[in-house]
Amino acid sequence: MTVIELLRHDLRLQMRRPGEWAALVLFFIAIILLVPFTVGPEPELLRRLAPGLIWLATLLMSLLALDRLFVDDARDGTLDLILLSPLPLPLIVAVRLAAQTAMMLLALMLVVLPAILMLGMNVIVLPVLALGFMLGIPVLVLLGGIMSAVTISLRRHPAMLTLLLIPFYIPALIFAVAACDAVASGVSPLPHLLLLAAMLALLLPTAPFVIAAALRNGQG
Amino acid sequence: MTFQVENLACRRGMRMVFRNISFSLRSGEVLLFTGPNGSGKSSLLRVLAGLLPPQQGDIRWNGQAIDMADHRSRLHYLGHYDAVKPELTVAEMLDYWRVLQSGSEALSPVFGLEELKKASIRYLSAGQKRRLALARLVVKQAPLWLLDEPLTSLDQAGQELLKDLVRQHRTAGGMAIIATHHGMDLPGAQQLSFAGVSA
Repeated sequence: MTVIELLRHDLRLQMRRPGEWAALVLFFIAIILLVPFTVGPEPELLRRLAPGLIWLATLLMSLLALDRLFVDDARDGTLDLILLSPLPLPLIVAVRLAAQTAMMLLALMLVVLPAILMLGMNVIVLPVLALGFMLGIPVLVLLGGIMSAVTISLRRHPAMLTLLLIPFYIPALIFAVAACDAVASGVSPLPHLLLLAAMLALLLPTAPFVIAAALRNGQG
Repeated sequence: MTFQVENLACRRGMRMVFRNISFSLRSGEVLLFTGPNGSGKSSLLRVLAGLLPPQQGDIRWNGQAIDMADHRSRLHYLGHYDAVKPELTVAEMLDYWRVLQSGSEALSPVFGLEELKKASIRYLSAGQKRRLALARLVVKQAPLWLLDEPLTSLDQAGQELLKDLVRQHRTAGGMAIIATHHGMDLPGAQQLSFAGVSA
């Protein structure tokens, strides 16, 4: 019951910020829209680059979205209440990450189809791209959660989060895009997807505890 | 119930915020911290809540060194910030706090917030937000209240309500530690004044 109520609160809070999500969605679309102007409009080139570009836009969007994961709560005093709650902190954290993942997947559902049309992506890649999102977005959120908890005491340096996150995002990005490229060139995408799944399997049980510890000790 | 603090010291960054703080509270007692801005009242309350680690010293409950998980469940901490979300309504905010604090009873908002239950917190005044934050104190029974400048933004009636609340809490055997630079007339309260410890 508690989990459902916490989840409902986190989702409700996100739903009440439509402006922020609209900004993220437009940011994603803007990146895709600008690509033909920078690399040229040849359809074959865009088709080949499509999965990579979509993942790049996703990653940049998630950097912006994850920036506020715990910072708002730290600023308005809610984090103190969360730390003092008798509920297990990793549970509260896990619920927060789940809500964030759900919101990001929802936002991506809105923008991915227009992006695919704009870039003329091969349709046979779509299932693998979707599967990649299912596995990859939680990975981005879990890594982002760790970094945003670690940097909570460095609130005045928002650039730190981006700098710290990018090296950890690279493996996820490589596997997710390689899976799409594999299926486009007629090879099995399975090894890449499994490696992505392995990253998720490693992070899923550990990240909430790491984040909880970072939040508790970041109060100096 | 007793709450005892011995030789507590706290350092933030390079600066010693306070040291050699000792006091002892029993059921029904209130301790007022007074002192100028920056003298360490807030830091001390955060240490007492377990939100900041002390540099040295002991915190004891009934003579035993505190266990953090138990300690958290027996205290209410009201900090500088109201911890309210402008996106939510008053009722939704209270509901979230009830879940966070594992309070069982569905909470009826107090402090003249009854008519504002469905109002968005975005449109509340600073004083109304403070009243809402004070409503946290009744979400769950907790023997130890740690209040940081609770009078801020409250009007006369609000201040009276708060004093009433503290009075009831004391009658029920609770204890309260209140940091304030206004001074609060609570009969029989102990005083601990902070001169500001220089490092």
